Amino acid sequence: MANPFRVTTLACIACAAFASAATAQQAEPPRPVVVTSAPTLNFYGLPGIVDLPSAEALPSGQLAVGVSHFGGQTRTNLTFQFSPRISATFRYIGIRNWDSDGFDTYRDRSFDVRYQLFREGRYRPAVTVGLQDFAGTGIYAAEYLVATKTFKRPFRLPGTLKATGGLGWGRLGSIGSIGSIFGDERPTFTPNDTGGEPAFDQWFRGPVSPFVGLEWQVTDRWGVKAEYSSDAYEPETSRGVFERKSRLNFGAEYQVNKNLRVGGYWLYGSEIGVNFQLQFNPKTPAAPFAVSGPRPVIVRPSRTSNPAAYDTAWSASSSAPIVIRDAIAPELAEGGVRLESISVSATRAEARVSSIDYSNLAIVVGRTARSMARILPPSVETFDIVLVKDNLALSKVTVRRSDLETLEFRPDASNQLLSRVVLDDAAPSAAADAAVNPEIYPRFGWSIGPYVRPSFFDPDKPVRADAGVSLEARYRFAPGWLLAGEVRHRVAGNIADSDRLSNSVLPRVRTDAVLYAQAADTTIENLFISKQWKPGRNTYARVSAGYLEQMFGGVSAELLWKPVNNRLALGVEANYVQQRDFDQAFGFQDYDVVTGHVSAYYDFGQGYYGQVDVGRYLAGDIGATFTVERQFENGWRVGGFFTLTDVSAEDFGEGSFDKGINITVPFSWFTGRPSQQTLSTTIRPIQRDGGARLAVSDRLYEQIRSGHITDLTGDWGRVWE
Amino acid sequence: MMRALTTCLALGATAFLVACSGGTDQGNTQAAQLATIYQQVRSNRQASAAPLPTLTPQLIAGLTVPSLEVTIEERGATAFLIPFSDRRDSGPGDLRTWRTANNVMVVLRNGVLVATRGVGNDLGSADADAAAAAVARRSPISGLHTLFYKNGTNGISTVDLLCEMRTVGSETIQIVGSSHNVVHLQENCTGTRGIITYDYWVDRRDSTVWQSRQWGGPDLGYIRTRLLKK
Repeated sequence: MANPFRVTTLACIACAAFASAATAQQAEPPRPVVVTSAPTLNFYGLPGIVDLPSAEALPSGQLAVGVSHFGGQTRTNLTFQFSPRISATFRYIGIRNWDSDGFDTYRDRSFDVRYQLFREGRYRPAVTVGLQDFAGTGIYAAEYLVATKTFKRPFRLPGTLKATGGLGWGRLGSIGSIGSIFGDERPTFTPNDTGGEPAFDQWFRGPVSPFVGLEWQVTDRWGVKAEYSSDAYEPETSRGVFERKSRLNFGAEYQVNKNLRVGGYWLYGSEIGVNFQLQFNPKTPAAPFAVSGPRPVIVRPSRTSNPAAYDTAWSASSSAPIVIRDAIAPELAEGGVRLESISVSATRAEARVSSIDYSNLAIVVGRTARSMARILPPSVETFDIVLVKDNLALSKVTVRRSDLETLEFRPDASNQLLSRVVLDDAAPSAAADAAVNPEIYPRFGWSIGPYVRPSFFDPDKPVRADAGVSLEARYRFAPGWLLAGEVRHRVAGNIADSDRLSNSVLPRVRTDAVLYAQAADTTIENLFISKQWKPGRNTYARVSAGYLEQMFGGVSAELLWKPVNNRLALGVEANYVQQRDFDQAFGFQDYDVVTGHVSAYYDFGQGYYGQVDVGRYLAGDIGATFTVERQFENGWRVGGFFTLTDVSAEDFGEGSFDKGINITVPFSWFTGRPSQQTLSTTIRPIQRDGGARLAVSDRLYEQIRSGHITDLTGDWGRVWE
Repeated sequence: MMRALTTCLALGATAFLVACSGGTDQGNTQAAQLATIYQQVRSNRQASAAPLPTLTPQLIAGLTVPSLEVTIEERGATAFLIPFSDRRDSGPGDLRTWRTANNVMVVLRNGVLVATRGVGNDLGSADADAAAAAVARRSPISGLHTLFYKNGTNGISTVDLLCEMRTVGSETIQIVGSSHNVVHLQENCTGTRGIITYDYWVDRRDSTVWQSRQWGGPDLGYIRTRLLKK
């Protein structure tokens, strides 16, 4: 068979004028259909009517951002449908004209959880139980049991009608009570409480009231809503925030596109309200992922038709690995894969590769296997592809060359290939006789550009930010070694303007952020050296030293055990760090601490992960952090965590203990192009000093997951790309 | 690299929202991310610059290689492809991979769509052996037509279609000035996604598929092909 690449290269020259124009051209695409199958949101950012909840669940994995406003009250809500039945909501509110308890505008954060007890059946309604503001100071504290039934073409009218009825406690039982079921004592809302702890003592206590609501989705785009509320708005009306004249709320909503819905409302007989509802699902990328197609697999002649091709004399030549390396490395590099080394024998070859562009390592496996099949002599039947990330050999994927040849265009080729490959632990380093690619070290990279450092939830100004120019560089001078640093120069910002200085009684390991912002415009964000390696089977190690993060410098060491095909990983990390000077130059303050954790990571399957870290935190407190996370195969991750330590709620201060949510979005989800970059953020309702961990970069578990069984099989659909 | 840095600083001075990166190791700071966006926007602009040529019999006569026109209906996008590789496997017929200059690929088995690469929402693979055999025979064969397409989470989703093929009739079609005597075969399929129709216009003498309209999956939608030069 002729080399098809060469043929087409010639062909391309011959038809240059033609082929150069061969990029896709956009004509007028048809108008997209609006899909409104997801439940609509209420003013609390939950599936619901106007101000009341319904029993519907959002599609699994859905993220919903709702911003609502009425009567001087603005709620910004983020809801995540963690599993098909469980959802969680984080909310930040501002109530104007509060004018009491020391606030002009009352600002608060709250968390909700909902559990759908029953899905809707043919006759049975969906039933959901919800805890609203279950951990805060409880301005929105309420519990409810709610049922919703959907009727298609109700009374021969067009569209869909959803009827909701429920029982509410707390705020949702504050008017029209029919008595109490689980005791009538319920603590009242106290605006200046530290809050934050689950309020077990109040759930489902006190008066209970029924509520009802209707939603009629008239057309694809238009819907109307009406409800009879059981919320008296006592804290607000008693402070004159707004006047409540009625229990009835009405609204009309318009679906602008697949993701955005807007509504206008008439609430409580006196107020006009608006609600912006943005919903999207991590499973549906903003731009479909596409990489340029790979080179074809070259099929060997059969052994019977051409036995001479299978001669193994070539393997005796000492230059064979080098010749092969020099042929494969450039071809792989063109495809976004870095060849680290290759070793060959007459029938087997091991290529150690790392990714240049792809976060999806199945693509790296596929492209490496293709190149090996194109270049290696026909006698080599078994390919061992070792996935490497910065000197950590993550796993070894063994692929049979004949499977590549036969399956390339067969039905269900990806799954067929997956069932034929073997995934195993990889040796820490290449065999002694391997041909190492001399071009992989040293590597240097830099970037310069703007940065923004936001700061949320200051009661005086909920969103603050500093912005400026950042210069960052990395130097990998030998396998596993990294010298990296980032210098920032602030051009503008208002974080330093805050007059809320720390009132913490603990060592101020995190609450001095304002002092850090005030001290200097030009700062060293970080500057460190690190080395990582694989000490043995299934184990990974890292040592870092230097200015590890904005507030601390010192040394950090970590060891992780994680077999490739195992759901469990165990790790231990120990750090000795000293607090950096506020000006974030080279100096240190007096405070130093030994901090470290023993960690267990568990992959529950279906994208659910759990993590427990037990140890000593930056302020010297001892305790544990619990994290749950949902990860999507495309790299999206949404999770929540909380930390309990021996610091009392009183010493901790507002919030009582540390908690927050993590969101990571892969860059390629937005662009549709391969990239290893991610946008990652941690939102804490409040940052205090208890339960604070060192923010060292390149923790091991995050680095190695992508090459282990769950991520690799999750990505495998793209192995032929 | 120094030139890149200088250009960047010059640009950065005029517009605050410019970021640059360089070297052989990619970072993950905000600046590095912005630099990536900047590079991608620039390469998109370059990629979409060249307009498609107007097809004339003269242009096609002058081509030295086979050419296939492919249109993705839902996106209103058209491209011209040339052959990249040919092979056979254990399934029926010949496999030909067609590609554009920037390596967007369409794989046809006897003219029947079995895979796409680099389009986005790609068709990973397909079981279209019945259709491929029918094209070779120029007479209908009914059977299963299964699509394995890429979903949004790097996985493969499956659409099973139960298809009945019929001969619509003998037709003469025109493709940029040249006419072809063809048999029009139509596959009418049902699946959970509703009714899907495949049309193949097959040369009466040698089974070449001159023209087709085929379904690539729920997100990719219908794809039309016209063989401009065999």
